[in-house]
Amino acid sequence: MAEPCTLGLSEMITQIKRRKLSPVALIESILQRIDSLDPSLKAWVTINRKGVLEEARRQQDEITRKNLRGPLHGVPIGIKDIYYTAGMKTTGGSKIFEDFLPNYDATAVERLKKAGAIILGKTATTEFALSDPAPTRNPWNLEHTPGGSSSGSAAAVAACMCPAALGSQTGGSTLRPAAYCGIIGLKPTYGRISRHGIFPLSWSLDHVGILTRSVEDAAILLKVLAGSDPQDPTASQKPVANYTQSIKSSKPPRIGIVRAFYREKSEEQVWRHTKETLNKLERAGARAEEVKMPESFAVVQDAHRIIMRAEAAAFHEKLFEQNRDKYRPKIREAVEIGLLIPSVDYLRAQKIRRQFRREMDEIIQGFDCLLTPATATPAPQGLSSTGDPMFQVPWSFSGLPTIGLPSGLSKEGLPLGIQLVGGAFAEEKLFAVARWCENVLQVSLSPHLG
Amino acid sequence: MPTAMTKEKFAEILNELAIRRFGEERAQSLHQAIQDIAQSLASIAEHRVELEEEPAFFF
Repeated sequence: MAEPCTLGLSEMITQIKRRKLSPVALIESILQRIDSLDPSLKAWVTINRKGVLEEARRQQDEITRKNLRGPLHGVPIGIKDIYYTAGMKTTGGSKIFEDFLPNYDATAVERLKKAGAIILGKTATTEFALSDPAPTRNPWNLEHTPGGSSSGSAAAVAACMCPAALGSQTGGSTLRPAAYCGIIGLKPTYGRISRHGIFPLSWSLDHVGILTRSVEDAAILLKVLAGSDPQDPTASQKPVANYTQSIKSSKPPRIGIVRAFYREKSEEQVWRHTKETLNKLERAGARAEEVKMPESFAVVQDAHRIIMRAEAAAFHEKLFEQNRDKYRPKIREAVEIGLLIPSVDYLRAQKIRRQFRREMDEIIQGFDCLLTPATATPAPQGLSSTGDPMFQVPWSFSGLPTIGLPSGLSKEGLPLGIQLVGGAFAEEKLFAVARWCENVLQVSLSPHLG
Repeated sequence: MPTAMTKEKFAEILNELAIRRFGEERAQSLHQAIQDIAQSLASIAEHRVELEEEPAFFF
């Protein structure tokens, strides 16, 4: 039998339910994996070692009494260190909060616990989820960035130190690290998951992100996490679908290829690989055609930059006045620039955001999904930058759901991926398409670790 | 009809504001970031948006 830590989320769930795997054995295997790999990968900032073992024992007893808490009973999950976790340090990757102990859980964390998940610990993030890097290294090559801001979550999932983790995305902070590390990244529709209890970066752009090693595992987690929340007025009242059922559909999709911007910005090997991937999908029955993007697409990156900096400044203003020297350079610069942006121009950027979303809502109706490369390059060398979020920005800006899938390896032996974009609150369809692509491509990447 | 603000004009205004808010030295170190955001502000100023279009905030 495979080491328990290497199983995917759905396999762990099945084996625990069938009593073939105990939560205690699973946690022990996971902790052993962390002990062996994390000194070099630095994906974790806090591990609740004693607490998770006690919790695993409690959950084991509950299984004996046939009392399962929910669909995630006994399964360990990693949490990006911007989510409030009651009694567990939440630093936001900042010195200012290095000893901060929240007294409540973020809604997303609360829902995971209610479903039976064991909160393993907190994963490394860039400072306040912007771009001052975490110390985390890429499991595929320690000299390369794992991406960010959900750096620790992506590295931990890729290295089998947990089957799934929460991240977040304001620009490209979930799908980019997922692509660099060769795993699945999901950013659902804006408002699909509550953001209550998460350090904000930019209220109108922040999304909860999900990192897993299969599409099915992402669907399982979205089912648990999605839904309205009285604590977050932006969390939608729209009904939550049965995403794990929807992935069983296997109809070849109609795919819209976004060539504008993506072709020009992609490294040659990335675009060539994306075309080869698309050819495989077409040979399996997918129909693909190029999408004509609206005029507003040309200013999406600019409008996103303005909104993100203005909103970050509004959140950080007072904190920044009192702790200026504790801010690292990139977040400091973003806050200072945000403080200079005129309100009328901020509002103009928000008008463009609505315009772009409306135009994309119409375009996407003609397709089951849009397809782009997930990133312009494989994970860049060095740890001073977490890479460029530009390929995710249009979808964080529009709020449309996206899922990233690994699709192969670069000439340097680093993961490459594709990004699928769906209609608003149409995650059911997006999962079905992603699962179909996953089945056709049969790419499951696993880094060689010690 | 007023013309859209240029990158140079935005940069000039933002630089003056940065000096008043953060001091000359810090404003100088923000030079490139000011140029970048001035470019973004000029780009969206040139983009046509209907008068009736409302800001998004939350969808």
